[in-house]
Amino acid sequence: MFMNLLGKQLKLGFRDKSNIFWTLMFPVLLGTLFYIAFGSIYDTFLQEPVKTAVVFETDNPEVISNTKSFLEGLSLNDGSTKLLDISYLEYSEAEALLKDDEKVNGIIKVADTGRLSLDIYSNGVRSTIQQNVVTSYNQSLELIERTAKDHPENLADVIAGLQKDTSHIAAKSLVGDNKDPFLTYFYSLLSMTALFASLSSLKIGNRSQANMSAVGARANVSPVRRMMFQATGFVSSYIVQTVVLEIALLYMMFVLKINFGGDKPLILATAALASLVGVSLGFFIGNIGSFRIEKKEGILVAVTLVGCSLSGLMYGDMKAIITEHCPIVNKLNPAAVISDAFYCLNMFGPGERYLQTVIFMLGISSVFIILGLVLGRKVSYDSV
Amino acid sequence: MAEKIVEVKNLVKRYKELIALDNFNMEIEKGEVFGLLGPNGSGKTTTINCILSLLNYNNGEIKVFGEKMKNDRYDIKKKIGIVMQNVAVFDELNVYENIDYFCGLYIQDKQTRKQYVEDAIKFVGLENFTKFKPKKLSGGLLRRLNIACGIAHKPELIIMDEPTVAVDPQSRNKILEGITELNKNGATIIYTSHYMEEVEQICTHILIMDKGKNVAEGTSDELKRSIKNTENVIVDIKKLDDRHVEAIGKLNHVYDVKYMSDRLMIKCAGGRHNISHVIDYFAQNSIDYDRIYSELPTLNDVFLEITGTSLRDQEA
Ligand SMILES: Nc1ncnc2c1ncn2[C@@H]1O[C@H](COP(=O)(O)OP(=O)(O)OP(=O)(O)O)[C@@H](O)[C@H]1O
Ligand SMILES: [Mg+2]
Repeated sequence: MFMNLLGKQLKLGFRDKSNIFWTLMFPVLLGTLFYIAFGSIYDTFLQEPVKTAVVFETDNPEVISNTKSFLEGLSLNDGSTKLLDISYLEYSEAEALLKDDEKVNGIIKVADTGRLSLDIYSNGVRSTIQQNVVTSYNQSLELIERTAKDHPENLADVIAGLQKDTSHIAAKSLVGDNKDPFLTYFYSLLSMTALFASLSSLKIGNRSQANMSAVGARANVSPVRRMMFQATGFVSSYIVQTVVLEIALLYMMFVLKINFGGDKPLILATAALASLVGVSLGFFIGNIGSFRIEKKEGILVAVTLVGCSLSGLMYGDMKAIITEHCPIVNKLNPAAVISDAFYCLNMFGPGERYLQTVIFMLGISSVFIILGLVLGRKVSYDSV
Repeated sequence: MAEKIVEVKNLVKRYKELIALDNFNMEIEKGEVFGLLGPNGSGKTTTINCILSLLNYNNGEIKVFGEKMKNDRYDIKKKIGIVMQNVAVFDELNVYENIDYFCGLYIQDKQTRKQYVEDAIKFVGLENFTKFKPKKLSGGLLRRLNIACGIAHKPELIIMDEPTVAVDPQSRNKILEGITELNKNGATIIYTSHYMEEVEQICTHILIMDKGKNVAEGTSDELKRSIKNTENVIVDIKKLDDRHVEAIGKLNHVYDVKYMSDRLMIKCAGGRHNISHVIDYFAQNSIDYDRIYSELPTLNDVFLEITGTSLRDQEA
């Protein structure tokens, strides 16, 4: 019975054209739009090294050569492009060029101690990258000095480790956060698509409750248990929506060439989990009562859009603002958590922060499913 | 005594303030085509939904196949087929797939199901439309699909809630014939309608309900014999003085006269020459008329006499 009914529910799901259109075409179209809109900005900062003037305020040849080799060795993620386009200048020359933003984006000064500092003319993506270079270099330096003082025996290891990681760390911590502020939009777009999956699972309750639809009444007078309709409906809706979301994701990754980070299978798995959140949400709302399905759709669209705007769909910095002023909202907003999962995966890899988002997604899905089952277990009605 | 398929005792159902079923009683025996006749809002659908355990009810007892019906009696549900008043099909599935979907809820075996689905399609005459989606079907064809979805699994008890609403006379006749055939093949049928002609045509037992009550039941003949009205004489006439109407009302066996929209309705109780008495009266008074004829009472007259209102008036 399960397989028979599941097969038919899948047929229903894959034939629901308006649903597929919304959940698939929307992210594809919007993603393409974002891509076109941000395209020009993208190219400049991802493909061109950041123009940087370096001024030595020291004569120490060791400091000079160390700094040079560090700065020149930095490259973008893939290693083919240098991160910085460096000119070694006197301060006065550099300053003149800095005023003209096109020529250099910042001046890195190298002090006698080996520490770096940065002069910038205006804030922007490029100066943030430079700032990160400076900070991470100074931190490494500090680490080396501290080790030299406290645990000289470990110094060799530390330096070796730093050297091995240099390009990696640099690329990650520098490029990471700022590589692509527009990625936020795509994360939000993915979470929106995932949450719109609820519009499909909304129908599960509707189709199995006698007081919600005529086919629901027919389901109720049949010898098949409610649970069977709910379970097959859920699984089929999940399959359909996950396929849709993965297609949207693959489109962004391979057609729009959006770089969501390294581990592609894990990104796809994250999307599958995100779609579980959406499907569970719809399952819950679909079972809450007998009012019109249009109203329920309204609720879901509102939840999705509000959630996604708070997580940065309309305005990329929104999430940062909320994190600063009211972090709990981001922790409880499914849209924010979903985009956070993609973000964490990209920034920090499958670490603890990512795991937290995974646990949250599993948790909130279970809550929705249980609520849906509890609310939807009624089999006799006061009114149909 | 024949086996009782459905027993409803003292059923009370309230929707908030409104009493939809008021101590309603009904018994259906095996092999009957049981007609549940009542005007809109009389409680037919409510009765059926209670029998199916779709609705909670406030009081009363319902047995189906001799056992107390509850919503988890899947064994009983398996033997019932329902044609709902509202069309219940999936827009995404075509005719064949829809029937297969609902039949599949009852019949597991693929081979058997295929046969049953094809039988159902033939039964409602949708052979040329198997690939059509519901949206592409006319209202009547859609109704037929709705019927096929309800009966494809060859149930022992078939409940049809106004299956012929919005169906053209040809399709309607086909459906009615089909119901008789289902009954011949052994199914017990509950048929609700507010069209008395249909009910008269196919039902072996008729229950008339009004305002949630069982007001009369029996075969069509029994019901008609139970009232005092035995004959109605009808005269099409353009102009008639009130004093004549009054005089005709005083003729032998006549107990009620109405003159409305150029038509004189004379209700008679007993007597075998009522129409000639009326003709004689017109001749004596030199009154011209267009047409005069006599009719036996219909179920509408039964309803009218019992409830004081007409089935037909309420249809509009
Ligand atoms: N869900 C409901 N909530 C409140 N009142 C209802 C509900 N369903 C039916 N009623 C009322 O109960 C009464 C009986 O309705 P029911 O649908 O059983 O009548 P019916 O005989 O099937 O009529 P019809 O010929 O129009 O189908 C009506 O007065 C109706 O308005
Ligand atoms: Mg009804």
